[in-house]
Amino acid sequence: MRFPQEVLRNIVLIAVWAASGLAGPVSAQQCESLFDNRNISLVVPYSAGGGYDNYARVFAPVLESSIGAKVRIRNLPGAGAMIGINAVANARSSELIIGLFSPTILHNEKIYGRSAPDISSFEPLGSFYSDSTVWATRDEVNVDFNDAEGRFFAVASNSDFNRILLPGFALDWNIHLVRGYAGSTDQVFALLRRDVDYIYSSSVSMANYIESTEGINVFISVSDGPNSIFPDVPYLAGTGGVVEQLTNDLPAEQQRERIILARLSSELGKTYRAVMISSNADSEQVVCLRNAVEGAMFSEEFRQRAIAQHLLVEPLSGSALGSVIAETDSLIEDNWRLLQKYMEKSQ
Amino acid sequence: MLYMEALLSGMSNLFAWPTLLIPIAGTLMAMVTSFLPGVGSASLTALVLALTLHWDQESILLLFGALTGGATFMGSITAILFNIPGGASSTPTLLDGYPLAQQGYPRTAIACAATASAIGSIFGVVLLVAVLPLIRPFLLEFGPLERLLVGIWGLMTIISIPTTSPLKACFMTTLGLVVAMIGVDPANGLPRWDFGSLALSRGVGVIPVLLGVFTISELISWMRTVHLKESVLHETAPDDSIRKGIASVLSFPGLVLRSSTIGCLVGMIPGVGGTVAGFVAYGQSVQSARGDRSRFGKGDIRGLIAPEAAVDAKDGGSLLPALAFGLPGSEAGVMLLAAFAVHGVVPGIPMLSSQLQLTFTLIAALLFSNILTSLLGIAATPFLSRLRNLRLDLLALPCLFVSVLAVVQLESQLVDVYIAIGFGIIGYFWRMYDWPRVPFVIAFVLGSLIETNLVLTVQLVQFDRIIPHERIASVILFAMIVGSIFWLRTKRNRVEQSLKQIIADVLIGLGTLLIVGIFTIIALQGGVAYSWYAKTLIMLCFMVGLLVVFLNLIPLRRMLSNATTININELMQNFIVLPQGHRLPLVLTLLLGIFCWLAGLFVAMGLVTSVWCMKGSSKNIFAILQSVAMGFLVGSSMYIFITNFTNLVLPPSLLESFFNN
Repeated sequence: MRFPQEVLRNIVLIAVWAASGLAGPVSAQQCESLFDNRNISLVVPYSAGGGYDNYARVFAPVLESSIGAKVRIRNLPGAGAMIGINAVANARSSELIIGLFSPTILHNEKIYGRSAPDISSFEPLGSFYSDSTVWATRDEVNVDFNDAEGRFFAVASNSDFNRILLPGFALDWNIHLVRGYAGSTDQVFALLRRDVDYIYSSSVSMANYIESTEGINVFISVSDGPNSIFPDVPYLAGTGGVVEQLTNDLPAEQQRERIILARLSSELGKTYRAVMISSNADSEQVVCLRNAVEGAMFSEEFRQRAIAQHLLVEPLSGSALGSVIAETDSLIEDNWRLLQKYMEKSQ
Repeated sequence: MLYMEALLSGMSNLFAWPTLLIPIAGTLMAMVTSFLPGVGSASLTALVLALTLHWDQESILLLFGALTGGATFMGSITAILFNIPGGASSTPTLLDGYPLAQQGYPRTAIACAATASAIGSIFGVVLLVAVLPLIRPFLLEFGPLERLLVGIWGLMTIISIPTTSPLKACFMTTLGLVVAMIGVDPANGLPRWDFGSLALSRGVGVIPVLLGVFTISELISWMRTVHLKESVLHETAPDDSIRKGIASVLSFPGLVLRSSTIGCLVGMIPGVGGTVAGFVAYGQSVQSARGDRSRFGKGDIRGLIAPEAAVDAKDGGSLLPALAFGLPGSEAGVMLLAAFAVHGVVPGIPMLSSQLQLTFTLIAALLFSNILTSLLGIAATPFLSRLRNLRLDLLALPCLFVSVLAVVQLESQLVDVYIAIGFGIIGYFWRMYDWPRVPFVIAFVLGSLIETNLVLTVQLVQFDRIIPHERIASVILFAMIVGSIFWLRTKRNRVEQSLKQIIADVLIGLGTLLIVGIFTIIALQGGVAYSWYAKTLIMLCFMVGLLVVFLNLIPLRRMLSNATTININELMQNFIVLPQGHRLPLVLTLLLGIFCWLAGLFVAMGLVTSVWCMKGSSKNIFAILQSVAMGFLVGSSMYIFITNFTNLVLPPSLLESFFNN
């Protein structure tokens, strides 16, 4: 009876997200007066010049022209984006502060057991684009998914469970992490220098590295279907995925566990360029800002500006993003013991 | 496209009319911005990026090359004149630049810095152009082991800096390495010595520490003159001239070439940075200097030439990882790649082959901008050197506010203000009682580079991924480190200390030991976040500190038992109770931090201004009202400036949080 329970919970969660958006009708005039002569802070919890910042800088003028309020970008990097995310979560109800970050970062913090705001501290307003993790190696490395030999990955610190170790458990690979590289740039250098044989990154970033740097190729996408940027590359989870093929001959229970691990990897390895607001904000503010953000995000003007800057756009509305967040929440909750078992195994 | 053809094409892109105006405008913008607090280079670049969406590729590269080169030199001018480094990479400049200006040679110092910068920049670009085709394999030679050795080589710089006590220098070095460890462990990402503060888990920033140790500690001594009514005019030496500054650089061609080579090579290594280049060049200038070395740190022109040439030569080198691999090696590289992405320029192999003319356009703009800043610097030298004659007591508080704004604009964190003020006050005592600040700063700057790469190297050796003795670059670097250690063995001098100095050493040593002791206890009980490196270093720091105190107690006991006329009470009184003139500046600086925490940055600036104005004026009601009005004016101006012209979003103060809840 697990499946109907899951469906029921999802329906309730989606209903809650939807209800929060419909909490009392808000007129266009009310929204106009809310934005009149006000400043909106768009907090980017990463340094200027990075992927999230690029979206913010394209989006801000479009949002500004659609609502008439001044939109100012604030870069608040540090502590694995937690400084900026906390600033959004703790915004006073009188302030118009929205944040641009991925909700999966909070799911991952929860799995690590670190102190971070819960995902329920935020209301989703929309997402520009979602991206999957991919793994890459040097051209001369022959990747055999069945081979149990040790695999050396370059990583930054201990935020590697969801994007390397969890998919590694799904593949039953013996993974060694070389920890301490300073971000993805340093990791690409490590791969080229042969310090390690494997690296990971988001699809978009990896595509940029491959375009600029000879001798690197992506060999798997940590997703549950073909990757839109690397359509010919094998994918990890779902029907036809590498894990399904590798576990065909295993006993049913073992196969089921590995397939769940693959699905968890796929969901937790995703990143969203999402716009969020604190759930402490007034309901009127949430509704007005959701309408404004969605309006700007789905506009042709934003699409054209984003394309001009080589940014990918596949927008999700606030309610659609809310459903995705609720589904991921539910998936984590259902498999909490399994996640903790493998988290302990990885330490 | 042929190499020479591409080079000429890049140069012609630069000098075509009216596009020549682009690098000129970019250089001027970068120069002005580097003087404005609260408007960081990231904000400027992001703004420029948004305003130039429809520009062609050549124009964009001309602009970004100029923006990269324009900001470096202006930081050196404030370092020379006011002991305020414009950026972290200008810090080595103030070691000898500021004493030179103090001794009446501001024109000589500025002209010397400008000339060394220009030559360093030209040399760096020439070297860059020469090695560009071979650059990919060269860059790949520098892995964690080589970066670790560069860090240790930089640390050897400390040995070459003259100091009254090698043991104190050793203690300050370990202390610098310990402060660099605050934040998170680079391998497991767990928080370390963060005292539960999220803001502190980012680590202690380089800029807040440098501004605290050098600038705020200096400003405190400027404010000492608040009671003096007469202007503090500096005498200018009769032989101070621009010509002398230029000639002094030309008279040390070997030094300029060595420093430029170091700057360019260190700049090429991703993740090492310009500050390291400056300090390494400074260290080698001392080690290789002929004749009297005792003037280093007190105004030796060679100590100014070396870092200036190196820091400007590194500009070109630091862009190489972005050009050759599409991977940023510095903040400038990140911005450049953002501009590349927007304008469809593909970094990496294409920039070294099919788009070589674009690479040379960028390099030409960088060179042009570096030379233009130097020429403008030399042209403005007579005016700039006169800035030194401004009344320092009147300048002190505005400079303190500018420093605080510069710190807070980095990441909008008030904890950076507290760090800067804390190190400002500690730095004041270090300076007053001759504790060597430079070893602390060098070790602090190099600390995370050394730890991160040590951790990586140990793992790679354990996993048999690298064999150290088979790597040519590491063998060469190792030989250079051994050479530096040999130099240490033969060139040290011992200096006798006075009784007052010994008492100061004991008291400062005990105070520091108390803090280090707390850190040591936390580390020993703190679990996996405290690696073997962290535990070893903190214990080493504690032991060396203990040794400093112990070795001072022996002569202290001997001197006290021999002395018959020393009034111990008077001596202790002199040390423990600060002289009258020192109290107000220290209290004002401390108050700025406390008010900031209690009531927010604008209110703190306003209140401190009011107190400062009141202290300097007579005590009638009109003067008090005038002081309050002045404070209000400053506080409200800062509020308007920060909320409308900068990208700061400051955390709420204690009072704000209280009233909001």
